[in-house]
Amino acid sequence: MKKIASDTKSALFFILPAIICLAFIYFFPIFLCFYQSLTDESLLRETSNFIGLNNYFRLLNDADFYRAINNTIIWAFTSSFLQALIGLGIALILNQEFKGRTVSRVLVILPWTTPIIVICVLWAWLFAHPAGIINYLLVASGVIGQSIPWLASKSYSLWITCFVWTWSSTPLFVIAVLGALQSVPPSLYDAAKVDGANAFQIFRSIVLPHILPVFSVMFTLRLIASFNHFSTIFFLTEGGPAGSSETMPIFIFRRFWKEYDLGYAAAASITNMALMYIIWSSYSFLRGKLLGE
Amino acid sequence: MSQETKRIGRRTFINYASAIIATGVIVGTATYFAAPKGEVTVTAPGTTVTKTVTTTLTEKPTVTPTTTTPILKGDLEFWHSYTQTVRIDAIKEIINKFTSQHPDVKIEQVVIPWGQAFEKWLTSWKTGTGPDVQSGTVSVFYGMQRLGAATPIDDVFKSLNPSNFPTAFIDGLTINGQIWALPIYSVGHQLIYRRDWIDEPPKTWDDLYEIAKKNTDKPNKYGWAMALNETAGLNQLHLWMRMNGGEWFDKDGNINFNTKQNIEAVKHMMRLFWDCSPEGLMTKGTAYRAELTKGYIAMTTEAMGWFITDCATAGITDKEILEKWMCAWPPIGPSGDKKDARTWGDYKEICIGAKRPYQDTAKEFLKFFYQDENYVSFINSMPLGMIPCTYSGQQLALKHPKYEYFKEYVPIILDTTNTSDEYGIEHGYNPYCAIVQTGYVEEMLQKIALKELSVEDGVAKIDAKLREMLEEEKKKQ
Repeated sequence: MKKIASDTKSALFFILPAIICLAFIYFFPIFLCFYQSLTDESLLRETSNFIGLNNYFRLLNDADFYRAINNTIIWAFTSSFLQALIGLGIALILNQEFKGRTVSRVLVILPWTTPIIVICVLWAWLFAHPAGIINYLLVASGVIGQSIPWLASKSYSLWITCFVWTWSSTPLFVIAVLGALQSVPPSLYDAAKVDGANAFQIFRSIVLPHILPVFSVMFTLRLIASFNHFSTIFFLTEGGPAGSSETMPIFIFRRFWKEYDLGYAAAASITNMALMYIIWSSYSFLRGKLLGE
Repeated sequence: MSQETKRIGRRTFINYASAIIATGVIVGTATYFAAPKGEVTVTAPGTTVTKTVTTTLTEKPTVTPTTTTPILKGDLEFWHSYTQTVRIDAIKEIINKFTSQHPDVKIEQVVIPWGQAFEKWLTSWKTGTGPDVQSGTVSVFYGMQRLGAATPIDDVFKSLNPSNFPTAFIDGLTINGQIWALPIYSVGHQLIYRRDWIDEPPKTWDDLYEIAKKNTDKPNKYGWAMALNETAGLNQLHLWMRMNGGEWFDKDGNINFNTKQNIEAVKHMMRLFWDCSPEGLMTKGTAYRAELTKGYIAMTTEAMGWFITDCATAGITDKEILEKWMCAWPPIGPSGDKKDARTWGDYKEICIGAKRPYQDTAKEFLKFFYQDENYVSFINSMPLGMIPCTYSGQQLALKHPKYEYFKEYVPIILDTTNTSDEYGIEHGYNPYCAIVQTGYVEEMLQKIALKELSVEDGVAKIDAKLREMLEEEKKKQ
């Protein structure tokens, strides 16, 4: 017994440097960010003052902050749901036996492997106004009367950026769900067929329970990624027009890199992080309930 | 059999790996010892990843320092944002010439894309590092000067014949009677129009609107290209304001945006945007100028030199450019006066970092850079795209064949450039000019364009916000 205690102490002693390093790398930036959020630190000054929660009170009175939060929630949830839905559909198709399945599986990854800047240039060109291909096709086919400035319109800009992000990210969902689908033992399908189950019943009783753990983790990861996503919106609209597609990352970027207001940007970052933490906790709680963990 | 194959494979692998490592070590060691002193390292970061290209001089330095050349030493960093290869190569050549004369000097070019320049510099300053020589926008320089990161260079300026610099370029870099930076180049914006569609360029704002309207046949043809997002929107607004006698700050450094002149300017811009410009350009950024090359835009404001570069990229020949496009002074607004009118000028400076160990070497490099032959070799790496800020440089640059070919444009380019100014420094040095560039102005312009705000309300909001930011900035001092 004494030896075990001594071994544990020795083990702790040897891994302590690694733990300290990891803790430093993990938590120091967050701590620093939180500390900055309590100061009026600016890149335009050498010194800063401690101002308590003033930056958080400023956030509460900032209409642009509420607009950014609202846009972020709409953007992140919509894109994550679409990725999940479309990803699941494509994965189910690719799980079937058909000619060209291997080629299709390779091709479906393409949007995900394309650099985001290339994707944005491509879609900006497709959605261009007045002479973009999408406008041309829609006008020529009579769907719309005149070309629409998609990326310069308050009504569409957020949705277009959401669509482009969904298009580029769905393959990740497909890969994950396809992997889960392939882990379902074929004997279960055979048994269900023998029992006379239809396609929906097979999906509900066999497929869904098998893919649910992967599916729910993927959904949450995509939700967090969408909450934090910056480049698609920045490259396509810079958060415009008139802030209509400005999400939290763009909001923080502008406070940090345009106004050099580190303290305020840090407060917005901590708030955004807290929001995501709430989402993650809710997910963990729901997952526990759903999967009986 | 398979086991035997595996064993042979492993051995072969080890043999090959050893051979490769040994060769690498030998070649690396040999290269290291063979490299001459005075090597030049060019660091060219991309938007996020830093790409490092290292070149070494192919010949050992042949020029030994004489009694008239001070013996210099030190490792310098030269930060700038001239991302095009032609400009990097031109600077590299000047550095090579300088380091060949001063073998104990090493100069590294650090190329930071425009969008990251101020941030990169500020963060490096916060961490106690920074450039020895820096070139960029005047607002970046003001930030450096304000934080004590730049050093006065009166001695350099005096040695370069002060009367060789037009005062318009020097005024904004003179602080409390001392010169803190030198103008490296400038280029003003002109009215660019399709000469094959428009006989005479507009002389007044009403003319401009009429001609733009006449040349608009949505969605096939547009009389004007108006971008309203960050930077491009600000450039166009500044030009409109300054052609109508408006300003951002008054002579005492107070915000003076909510004025009759500026309201008229925004109204005219919006009229053009609503009736004659593709709405899709609202969020297009500076890329809007590339739309001009597509053949459906009749007019806009842009720097002709840069437009010529865009045309080359789009495969449009110089001959076609001359046939189709012409430039002119943008028309004066109803409250403006030709003698006070200013276009927007892309105005860049070069300065020396403070608290750096090799300031003397940096100053000598700056003097070397401004020797006509060196200076013009950099300027003419993009002929017409950069206008020299010295009289002798302008004379020498004009000898470039491109200036001869586009001689029709040259007087207008020079005239608009020599009288252009930047946002916030209409009256010379203004340490707070950067508050104009936070993106707020463009957001309000977009709200006006989307008719969420009236012009009067939008201008009043911009004015109030700028005042608030100015107060905040002053409190931070």
